[in-house]
Amino acid sequence: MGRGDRGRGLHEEHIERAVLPNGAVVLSRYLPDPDIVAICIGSRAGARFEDDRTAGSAKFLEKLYLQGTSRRPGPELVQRPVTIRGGSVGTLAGSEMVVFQSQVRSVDLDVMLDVLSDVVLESTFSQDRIENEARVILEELNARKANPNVLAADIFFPAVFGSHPLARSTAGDLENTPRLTRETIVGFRDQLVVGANTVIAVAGNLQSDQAFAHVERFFSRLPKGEPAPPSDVPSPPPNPGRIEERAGSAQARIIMGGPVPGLRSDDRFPLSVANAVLGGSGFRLFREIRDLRGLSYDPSPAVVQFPDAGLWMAAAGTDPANLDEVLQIMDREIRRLAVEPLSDEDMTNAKEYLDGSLVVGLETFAAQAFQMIRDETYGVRVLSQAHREGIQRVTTEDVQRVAQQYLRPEEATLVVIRP
Amino acid sequence: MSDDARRDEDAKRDDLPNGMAVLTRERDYADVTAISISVRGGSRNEHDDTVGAAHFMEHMFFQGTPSRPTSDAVFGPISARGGWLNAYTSFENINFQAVVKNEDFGLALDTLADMLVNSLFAEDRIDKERQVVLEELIRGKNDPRRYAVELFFKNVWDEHPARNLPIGSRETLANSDRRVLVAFRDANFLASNMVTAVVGDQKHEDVVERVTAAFERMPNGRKPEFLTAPMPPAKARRIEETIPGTQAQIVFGLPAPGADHLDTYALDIVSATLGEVGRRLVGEIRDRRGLASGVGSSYSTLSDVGCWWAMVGTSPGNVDQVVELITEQIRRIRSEPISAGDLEDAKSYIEGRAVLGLQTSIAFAQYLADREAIGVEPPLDEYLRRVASVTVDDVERVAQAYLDPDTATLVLLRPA
Repeated sequence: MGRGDRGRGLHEEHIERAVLPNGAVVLSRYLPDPDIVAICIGSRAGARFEDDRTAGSAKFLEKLYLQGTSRRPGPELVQRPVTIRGGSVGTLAGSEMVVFQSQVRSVDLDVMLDVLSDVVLESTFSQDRIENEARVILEELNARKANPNVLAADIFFPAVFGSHPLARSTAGDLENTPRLTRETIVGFRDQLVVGANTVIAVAGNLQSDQAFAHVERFFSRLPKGEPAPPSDVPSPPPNPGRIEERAGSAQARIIMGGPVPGLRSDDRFPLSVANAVLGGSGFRLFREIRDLRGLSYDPSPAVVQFPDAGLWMAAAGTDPANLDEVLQIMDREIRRLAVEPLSDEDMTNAKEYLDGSLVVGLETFAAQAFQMIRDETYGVRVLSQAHREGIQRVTTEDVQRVAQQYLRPEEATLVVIRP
Repeated sequence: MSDDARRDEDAKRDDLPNGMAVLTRERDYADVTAISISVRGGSRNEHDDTVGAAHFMEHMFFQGTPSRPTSDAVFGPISARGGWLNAYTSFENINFQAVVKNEDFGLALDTLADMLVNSLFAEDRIDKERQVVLEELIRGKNDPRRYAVELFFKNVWDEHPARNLPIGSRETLANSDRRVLVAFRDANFLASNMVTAVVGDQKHEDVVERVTAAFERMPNGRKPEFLTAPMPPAKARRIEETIPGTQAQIVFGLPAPGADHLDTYALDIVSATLGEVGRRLVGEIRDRRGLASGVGSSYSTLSDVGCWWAMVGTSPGNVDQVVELITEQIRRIRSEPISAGDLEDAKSYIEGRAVLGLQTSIAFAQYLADREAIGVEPPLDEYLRRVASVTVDDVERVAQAYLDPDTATLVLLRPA
């Protein structure tokens, strides 16, 4: 397999796994070059675990984990030891996970572990920081509304997911964010950011036995707790309809799409091939909308999947006068997948593309560590031989079947943002 | 160019007989190879009535050659292997780049060379692509942050040619016909005016041999003159516009020296202290008062001119307070010497960032190609040595010389 012979391939056999007494799973991928170590920690504490009472809590975790610990009481102190070494520490609230990310030069490993464990275990979530971060989150929500591309997505996702837990916004909640009390936020955190719910991945210039020993030393104090409920709510039915909104000054933005099954369904393989044909390898939307007609700069398809549910979408920005034409072309190109079998060349290109773009996309240790926690948390391994084989097995009939079943413009949710 | 800038300790270098420089960084551990080809010449070298033609022209290199007659044929083979191909046009250079698995290096190089040597610039494709560029233009205007920064750049440099932004305008794009695009190409796309950088699991000698062959037919000629201009004076300006939405955008900044000036290194320290490391702006505006979700700030340089700027999105009611807080922090760095600790932190940050920021093959290749093509910035280790030699007095001196808040350019976009 070429590159894999040198220990570099992106397969599961290059990842070592251990479980700490507190239940946290530790993954390690040792590669000596470049001289960098990245750590990624994911806890199943994302927005989907919120309810009406706790809505907005995940976003607060993203903010408050960088706002002060007992030893480093202010936001200016928390990341400083890593920042002054050119490294980074970040947090991110997703739908499934709240994620902690950091990377440094190997020589600064101890500093990174000290800061990251301080952040995860000792953040104070003080009342005055909560009030400050509530203002910050509301400013961010304001900014999201002012950007038509972001606004379109913020309307589209909940419209497709409906009453599914994935409909919860990861950006905060206009009504509930200012209402959340410290007790509620800390309760959400203490229930979910626990060993039984957490995966820690280390990638880079640190041998696996050392990685396990370091992580155990720094993170064994994370309480064990209980795992969050499994993510197994099926995708909702399609929610056809058109939602119009105004934003921006010059360009219209459209998104069309609908539900698809989650990653646990083997339909993810033909869906990725279909998406590649529309975008990355077959350029069908790009060719018809941009290259032949110059109607948009950025026509782009996507399939976004979580363990139990997901969605497909096609988006583009265009002059308001061209809106209908762009929609017609999207509609036609997506229907075409259902009626016209892909050529052998389309299939080969899409499969090669999916294989190669994984290698290109996972160039950095930070990207690899993120993929490792995602694979472990979702229970669906992209970094595996099984994934590669799954892609290779896809037939033209499979693609046609999933296109007929899911990629249905006639039942699509359509969001249109006009200036 | 100074002697220092020739040493290239971070890369191997060869100059081909046709004048093209080839820089490589061998990474035997890498899974992917990046190619970055930088052509000197960008929007600052354009005429006022056709500015944007350089960027528009860059698009035309993706529109077909005799052997790859459509843009599908240009993009397709690389994309179908999971790689990507792209380009950008900046103020002083145009960069074409590809990232592929190591084994696809030949495919990517041959595609880029075919584009650069043989692109057809067909009349009907030009008219179609003008529409795409116009969509790109209005897409930028739709994003209030981006629009605010563009307005700032258009004004802060006064009459300096840097005020011409790569994207152009509706009018200048309409003025840019095939003749204009081809004239820019023919004046600048010469082997002697180009640098090819390759980073990945590739041997230097092999890369040189393949680049030589691939660009055998690249037009050549004397390297074009690159006119510099004096640094513009700082002038107090206030540019106000209304925008849709509920959030105001503020950009506040001043002209500063370019990368060719020795004060660049002390200004990098000033910028890091106000921004990423010292967190002085974000500390006051976000951490203490929750007035914004963040503060962007940067010291951006061209070869002979630069600017320092800060940008904040905030509720309209906070605008005056935010502008006052930015002003206060600039006054502070001018009047109060930074501590030895702050200085060391900023230096250590800049050094560490150099390693981590140039981690990906494309980041490093692009850094090498653009640095060499523009030809002003020294190699990385020399750059870091100069940063390391900055003193507390240097910081105070450059802050006083260039950052007088009474002469700042302020862009203010308020919701209607």
